[in-house]
Amino acid sequence: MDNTLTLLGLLGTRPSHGYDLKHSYDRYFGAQKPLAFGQVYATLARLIKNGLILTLGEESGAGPDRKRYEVTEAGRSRLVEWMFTPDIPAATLQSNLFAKTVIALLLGDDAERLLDVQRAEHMSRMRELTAAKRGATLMNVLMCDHALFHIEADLRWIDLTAARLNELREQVRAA
Amino acid sequence: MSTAIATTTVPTPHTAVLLSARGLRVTFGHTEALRGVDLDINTGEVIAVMGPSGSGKSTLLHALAGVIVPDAGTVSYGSTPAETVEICALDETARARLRLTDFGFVFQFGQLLPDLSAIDNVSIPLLLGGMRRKDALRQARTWLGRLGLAEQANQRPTELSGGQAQRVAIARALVTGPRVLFADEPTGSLDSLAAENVMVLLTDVARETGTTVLIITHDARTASYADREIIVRDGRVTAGFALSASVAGS
Amino acid sequence: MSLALTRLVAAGTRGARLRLVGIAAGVGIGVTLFLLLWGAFNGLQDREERSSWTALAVAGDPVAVGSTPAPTRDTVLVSSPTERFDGTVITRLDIAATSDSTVTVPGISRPPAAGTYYASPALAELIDSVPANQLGERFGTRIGLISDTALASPDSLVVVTGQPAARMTGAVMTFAISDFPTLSFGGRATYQTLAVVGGIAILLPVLLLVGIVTDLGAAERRERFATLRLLGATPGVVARIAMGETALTSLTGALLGVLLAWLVRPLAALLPINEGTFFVADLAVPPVAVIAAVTLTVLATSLTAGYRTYRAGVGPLGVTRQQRERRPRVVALVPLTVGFLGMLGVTVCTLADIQVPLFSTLLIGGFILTAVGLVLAGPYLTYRVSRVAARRARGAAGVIALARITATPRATFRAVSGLLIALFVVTVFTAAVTSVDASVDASVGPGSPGGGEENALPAGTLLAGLDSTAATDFDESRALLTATEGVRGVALAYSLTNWEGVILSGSDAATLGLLPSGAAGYVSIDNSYINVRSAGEAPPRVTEAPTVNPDDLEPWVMLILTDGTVAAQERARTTAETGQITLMGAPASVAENQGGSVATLMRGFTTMAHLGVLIATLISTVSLAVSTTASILDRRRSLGLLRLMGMPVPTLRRIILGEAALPFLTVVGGSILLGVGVAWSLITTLTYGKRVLSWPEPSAYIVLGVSLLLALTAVLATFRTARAHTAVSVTRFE
Ligand SMILES: Nc1ncnc2c1ncn2[C@@H]1O[C@H](COP(=O)(O)OP(=O)(O)O)[C@@H](O)[C@H]1O
Ligand SMILES: [Mg+2]
Repeated sequence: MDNTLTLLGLLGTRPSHGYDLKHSYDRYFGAQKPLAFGQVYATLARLIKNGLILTLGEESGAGPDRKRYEVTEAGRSRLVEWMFTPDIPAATLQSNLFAKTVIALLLGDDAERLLDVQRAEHMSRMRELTAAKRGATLMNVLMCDHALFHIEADLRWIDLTAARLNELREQVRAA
Repeated sequence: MSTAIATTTVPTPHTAVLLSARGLRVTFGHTEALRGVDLDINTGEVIAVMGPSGSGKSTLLHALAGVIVPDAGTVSYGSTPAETVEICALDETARARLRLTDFGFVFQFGQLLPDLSAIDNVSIPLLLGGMRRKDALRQARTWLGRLGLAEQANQRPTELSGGQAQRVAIARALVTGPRVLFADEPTGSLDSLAAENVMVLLTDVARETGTTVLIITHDARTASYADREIIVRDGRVTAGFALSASVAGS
Repeated sequence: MSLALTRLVAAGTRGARLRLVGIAAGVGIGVTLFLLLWGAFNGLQDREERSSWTALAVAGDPVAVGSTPAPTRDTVLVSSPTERFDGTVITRLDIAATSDSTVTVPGISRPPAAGTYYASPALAELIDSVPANQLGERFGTRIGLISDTALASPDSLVVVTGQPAARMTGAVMTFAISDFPTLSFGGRATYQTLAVVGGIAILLPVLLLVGIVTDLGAAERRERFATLRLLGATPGVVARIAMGETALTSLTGALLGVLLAWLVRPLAALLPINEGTFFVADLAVPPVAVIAAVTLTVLATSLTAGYRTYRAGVGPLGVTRQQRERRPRVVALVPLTVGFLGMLGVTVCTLADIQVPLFSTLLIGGFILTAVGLVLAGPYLTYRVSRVAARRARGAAGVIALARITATPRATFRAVSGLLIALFVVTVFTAAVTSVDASVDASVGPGSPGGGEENALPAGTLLAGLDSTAATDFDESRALLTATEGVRGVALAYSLTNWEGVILSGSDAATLGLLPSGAAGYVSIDNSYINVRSAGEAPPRVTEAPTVNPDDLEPWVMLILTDGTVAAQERARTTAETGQITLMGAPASVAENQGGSVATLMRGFTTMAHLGVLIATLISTVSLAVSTTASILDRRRSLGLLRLMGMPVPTLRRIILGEAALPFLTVVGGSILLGVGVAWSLITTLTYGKRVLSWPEPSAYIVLGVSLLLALTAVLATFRTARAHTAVSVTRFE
């Protein structure tokens, strides 16, 4: 998740202070990992530098807290670009696990157990998410579901790989 | 097992072993469906059984529930030594009685009698147990209400949606107050949302009543409603969570 | 529609192939029975035509009593006195012809010379099997056999004897004819009506069986058709496949049926119907009719199959709506009501002496409507009863069975409808054959066993009607008869103008046990002494008749007292017939005199009735077993899962029993009552009120009991299948 662009988007709803911005962010997206203030201000500074936002008049006193920020035209077009450009499906996890599996096979180690361990890990994460859905708001439920579906997709890959492990072993050995 | 309903009210969650299998082997002709399964299920646990198709999940469920008698191995049922019975040693009539009084079953589809209304379907296990029709219907109505089906009481299974039908099936499985609920892919023919609703209701009711649940599924999200999962592969059981815990510890 | 596709769908699995075999077998049996029945119906007509030559009344007016015209070159004198042997009637023709007669007698060509006779093969065999003085001597010397072309049945007992012209006195109706009648005299509406009714009674269960069998495995097939729909077949294509499949199967079945009918003809010909067994050729059905039957069968079954499949609305995802039957409506009662009331109407009109045109057609129509109406009304009644019962059901088995019946009253009723029709038919026939003459009380009367009756004719007495126009010396006959082995005495009864009753000499009265021996003079006794007595009529009174002048007495009846054995009676008959006296037909007991053609009316059909009952019951039993099994197979998953849940096997059995018993019990009483009503209507109308029903013989109850037992067996036989098909393994495709 791109924090910079997410903050830009939140700011697009209406001009706000950095403080409000952080709380909006946490309310919508920060259930698991709230943003640090420092990160918010660093991000805002970078956005100003890139000309995507600008500061409105200072109200009272100095310090970042007193500033209100607003999205510029350039900022808006950047947002549109971000929103309507599809993401490249994330492949980090698979590639890492794939690498581990291949190494295990190369080393003659128990690749099946490696996958089982990963599956158990995934399952316990899914259990947590499912438990978190209990009594949660719809917004949170949907976010948990989003995560659940992703983990489930990984699990499917794990199942498939487990089922084709022998085949894979032969190919790896042959290569 | 006339003590079934009484004992479930005793809060002994996650401590006593309720169902215990040792060395289960089941062979169909040349197919070895189960090749030595050891398994302990605690009172009040919700367990997911996962694994590829044909790996022996249903066979395991049938052996645990006394539907079939394994070729080798034992299944003991009961939380105290005094009330423990050796399921495999019982004859068919006794096992049928045990299934009727102590176990509940939910399947993927086609378990409701098409000619009967939802409420009649739910009342059948009670009638089989010898309850008077009036009382059986009253109890069935309560359970339908509990599963959010009060309005569908007089509809026939064909008039229900898939999710509603599965909820009726759950009501039917729970109406006798079983100690163990066996579910064989209960969400297998439902869409995600309906499956979700069914699982929420099932696990909620099971936890409220302290019912032990064994759910076969190959849907990970369905399995994530369970306390732990076991994986059946080629007729053998490999524990899921327990294994990961041991790895984490080492 | 490709043939390969049809084959794939129709005969893909063992179950599917079994189903096809079942359909073919059902259709085959149906066609066989139909052809045999049709053959029998034709056969009845054929033999009526062949035997028409013995019905002399068609030939013209009899010659005057007392006159004895001589036969000429081209006319013969013929009479047909009643001849009897051991309770059976023999068709006897006495012919007086000149030696150069040009008249041809059917079956033998030239008339026999006086003192000789021709007999039918069956009669010849009978004559040879008993001593000559019991039968053979009555006819003279046998010079040949009557050929089959002139006989109704291989069992026909016919004799043509040559007589001197002098014996043809005209007392027994004598005809002077040059040609024997060739046209049947057509007064046989009664027989034909009964034959048609019997045929329909047998055919109806067959049709029901075909209906059940073609609907076999419907649930499994709907799934296969759903697959085809998913692959892109339109409903029309699917219906056409179903049609093609059924057409091929029923064509095979029908052809096998034709073959089977042809093969079992010799066997079927052995069944005695009405006048006896058949000549095998009589049962032949013209080829055109065979082709028509096969074509109609194939058309009817395949169109039905196509229509059913089309209406089932098989979608790509299977039958989405469950196959809920349309609720039966009250209209279903109309055919039954119309049919039965129609029959009663005809009967009432007949009793009230109102001429009903085409009454036999109306009766047949009424019978068909009643029988079919029973099948149509059943589902409605079943539905109503099951609705009420479903609310009161207590146990699980009751709830499940009644819900099933309420949801599918037609299918559940169809399972037992064959049985009910069989029962209905049994009742009609058993009730009909009990019919007795309304004017007779069988328990009292002359010669009735028990004999405690005051002034009763001794048992074993034969009455020989005398031809008063022939002056005869009775003493010689008396002496001959008295000397016959087994004859205990002979008495001569006289009639007297203006005198009520029979006059007997005192000594004859003593012989008969009416007066102490040694009495003199004459006595008179009521006519009822030698007649059948009406119920409640007082026993005959004996009075002295001192004023009688012996010269005024006319010999009327010779009473021959025998020891009651068949041999003695037959010897007495032979002696009487061959003696000097001229008789009005063979001497007979009162009972034999009474039991004319009306009494044997239904008896002739007893075999047909028994056969019908047997076939109907067997077929219905098969139908019941088939449809019970089918109804279990259709629900095997849900019932199997219930068993898995712990439903005990006895509950499953109770479900099966309940589903068969309720529709059966709902309609069984009605069927039996209707059967009795229909029998009453048939008998009363056909005999113009002369006969009434009485209680059936014990054998009827046995037949009834056996039928029910068979039905129960059919249901019990399905238990095993039901158990096997609801075992855990059938539910494992999770
Ligand atoms: N009644 C049976 N007869 C023959 N083979 C069976 C029977 N039941 C199960 N099997 C076989 O046993 C194996 C395990 O089946 P099952 O337990 O149903 O698998 P799962 O439920 O995991 O898909 C499969 O190979 C299946 O074909
Ligand atoms: Mg399974």
